[in-house]
Amino acid sequence: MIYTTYKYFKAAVNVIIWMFLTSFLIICTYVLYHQESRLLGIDFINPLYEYVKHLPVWAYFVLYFILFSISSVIVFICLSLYFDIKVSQELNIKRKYYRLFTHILTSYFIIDLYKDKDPQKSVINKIKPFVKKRIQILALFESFLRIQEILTKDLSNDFKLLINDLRLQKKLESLIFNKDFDDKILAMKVLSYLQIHTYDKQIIKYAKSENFALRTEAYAALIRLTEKDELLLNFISEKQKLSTIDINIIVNTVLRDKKLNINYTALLSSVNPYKIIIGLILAKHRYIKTNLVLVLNYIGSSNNLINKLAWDALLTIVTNDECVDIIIDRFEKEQDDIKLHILKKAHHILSKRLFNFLTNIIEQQNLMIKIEIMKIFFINDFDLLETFVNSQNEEIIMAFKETSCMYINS
Amino acid sequence: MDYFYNTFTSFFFVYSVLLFLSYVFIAVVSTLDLSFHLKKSRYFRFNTIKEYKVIPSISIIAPAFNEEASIIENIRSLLSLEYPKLEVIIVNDGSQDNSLQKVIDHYSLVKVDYAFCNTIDTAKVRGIYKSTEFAYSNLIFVDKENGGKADALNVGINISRSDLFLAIDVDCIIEQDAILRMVKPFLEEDKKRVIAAGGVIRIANSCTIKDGRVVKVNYPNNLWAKFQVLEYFRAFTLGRMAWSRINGLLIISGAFGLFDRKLTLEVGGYDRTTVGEDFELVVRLRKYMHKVLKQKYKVAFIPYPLCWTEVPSKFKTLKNQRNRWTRGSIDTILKHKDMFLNPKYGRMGMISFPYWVIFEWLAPIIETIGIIYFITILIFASINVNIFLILTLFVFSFAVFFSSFAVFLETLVFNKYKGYKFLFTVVLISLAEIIIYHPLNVYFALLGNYSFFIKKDTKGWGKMTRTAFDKTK
Repeated sequence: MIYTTYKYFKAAVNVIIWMFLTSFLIICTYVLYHQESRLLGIDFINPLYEYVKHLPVWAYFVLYFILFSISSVIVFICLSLYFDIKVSQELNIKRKYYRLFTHILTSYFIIDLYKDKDPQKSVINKIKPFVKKRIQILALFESFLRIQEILTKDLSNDFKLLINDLRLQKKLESLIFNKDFDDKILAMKVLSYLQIHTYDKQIIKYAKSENFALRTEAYAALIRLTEKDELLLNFISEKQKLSTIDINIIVNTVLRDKKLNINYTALLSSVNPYKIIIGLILAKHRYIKTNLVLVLNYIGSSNNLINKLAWDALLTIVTNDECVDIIIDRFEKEQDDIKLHILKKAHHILSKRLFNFLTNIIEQQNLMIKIEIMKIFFINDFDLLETFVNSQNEEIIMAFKETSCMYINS
Repeated sequence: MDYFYNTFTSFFFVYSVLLFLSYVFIAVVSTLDLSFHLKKSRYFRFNTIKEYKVIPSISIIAPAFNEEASIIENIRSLLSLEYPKLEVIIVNDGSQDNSLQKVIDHYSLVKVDYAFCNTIDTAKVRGIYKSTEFAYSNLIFVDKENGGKADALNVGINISRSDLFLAIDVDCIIEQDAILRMVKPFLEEDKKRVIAAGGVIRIANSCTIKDGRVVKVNYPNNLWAKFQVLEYFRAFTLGRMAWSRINGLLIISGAFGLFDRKLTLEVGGYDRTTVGEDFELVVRLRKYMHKVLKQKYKVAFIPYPLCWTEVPSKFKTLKNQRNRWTRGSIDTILKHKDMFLNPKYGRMGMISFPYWVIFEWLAPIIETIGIIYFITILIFASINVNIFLILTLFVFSFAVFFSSFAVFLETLVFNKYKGYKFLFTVVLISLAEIIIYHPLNVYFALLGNYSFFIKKDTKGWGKMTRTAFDKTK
């Protein structure tokens, strides 16, 4: 309530200031254009009238703009001087508080001594005098985020205690409604790390925002806030588009937060291609073999990224020669960039059948694929590699020479 | 006579009003976009990009021609840039100095049989070198016959095996996290394909440089460089930022630009027949997206100072550079003249390309005609002195206003140049600019037009002398 009142008050003040400035400009224009004028019972005599009375109207506006430009130059110089000092000062202050809070919080989070009440109180007393201004509070939250993002330990309970005692919870919560979206991002990050669910609806709203920076951070926050791993990506609707950065942030947050009971079937059978992409990356990094059939479904997909990631997942999860059949079956049907990707991931496969297959097809491939095939031979079957030394194919010779150069493949 | 007088006067009046409005538009749009960029990046840790599971690989391609004085430090600086999938390709474009041997000795290079396809036709590659030391395993040094900057870049594109390539001048100093910042637009866009990205370039003259890093930013001592600092503020912080916001950016500086490699190969790489190869490539890429691929796309711009370069500090070098820029612009405009006011090319055809023609290429010519016209009516007819004084004062005050606004944004956002001394000097320079630097720029542009149309010089580069940055060595 207080916040809403404050918000409306601030907006009203803003409108009044702009109205005042606009009225001032209009009045100035009017007064300076006439010889004499009377406004609100006050008489104005224009001292410049003699100089401007013969000018056409447009020239009068140009004159007005000249005055505006000159005064703006003075204002900009003064503001530049002010900000030159202020920006440096703020940066120094921010750094100072950031270092101070990082030092205190690191000890508080890590050292067992602070689990007792008295030392805890001493930490609060140390911090309290320095969390009065906005810049200080933001530095405290940023310090917490930095530490939490480095350490794998869950620090939420300790920090929650701290901000409760420092009475900063309301300030943190107010940030999520702030007009500036960078404040919203900070609030979402901290709230999600602290597992405070009061503002989940607001974060879901931000996850549908047109502002991609806000949206991406909302996704990450929602993943951290999801308690049931199987519902992890439910906030992404079936039609929602994701950028590469969204996908990366979602994947990294899932992996970092150790969400283990992910419903891979739901992800990999989704109609949303972005959910499939996330599912494939997660399956690869978690070595999930149970959904291998679903992964196989996407081999040869018309979506190039899905196809590539499906191969990536398959060749990472299946480490032996079990995937040779599918490579032989699919290889020639794939585009060159996918072929190259398959070969790069197939260096570990020790299979005579695969080598024979590659020997048969090498001549029809492009140079990059030839090089990759040679590399597979170089790693697994040096004798086979040597058979290409006298090849009549110029590209095969180039590929051979590159593969056998120790300085290129070191 | 009256008819001519009215026509001429109305033309110059409309032209000036449009130019003035375009500057106001640029100032407003760039301020909005800058504010958005700052807010979105405030809590974003660019270092985390290194941990991403899906990121493009990048090749840095740096053509080098007679860079003996600084090449060792410059390569070291490039090798130390932060990015997980990075290779550095230095293309020695037939240097006549000792740079090849210097690099071979310093980085323990040996000639290797590195395979590549000549997808883009280039001058002959004499040899490809790799280091015997593991620490430099991502360095590829290419020695080729001289063919010009565009040709050297094309060789780099042929040799590169990455998804994106960063075209840079080898003598530039790149910020440590520049690539992480540059790659972000390619990752965050979900509705459009990002085909290229550019960043802000700042002037390194007089800055303190140590181990390939700018450690202290100083306002240049040289007068020509002082003018160019102000010019770069306006061009990058205001101009390019605004054009990028409306997706109308036509130029990415040849000194620092990230491009989609596959797409560049599809359009045939850099044009070797022009000296404005950076401008031409962006225009051609955009044209290709409209005409052939018919996909939504974007040319992104990052408002952070990511690259530091040495600018001409001698009159003659500056003259040659501006002459070359003008010839490059004209060449590109004429090559792609079918885009002018062509709705098929969207905003590029209807706004940015016509703007470039009318307010970049033709501006010096129109300005000169205006001055001649003014002198003529001064001789043969009478002018209204009051109006003349008002308009002159308007041009002066607006020019200083626009420059001071650019300086204000620079101080507010980046604050790289510090101290009241800089601010006062820069204001004086902005006044002097109107009297000294601007007329000279008009003169250089006219010379460029003369060289292009009369002397038919479309490929000459002129001479650019550089010094080694790192004075601590």
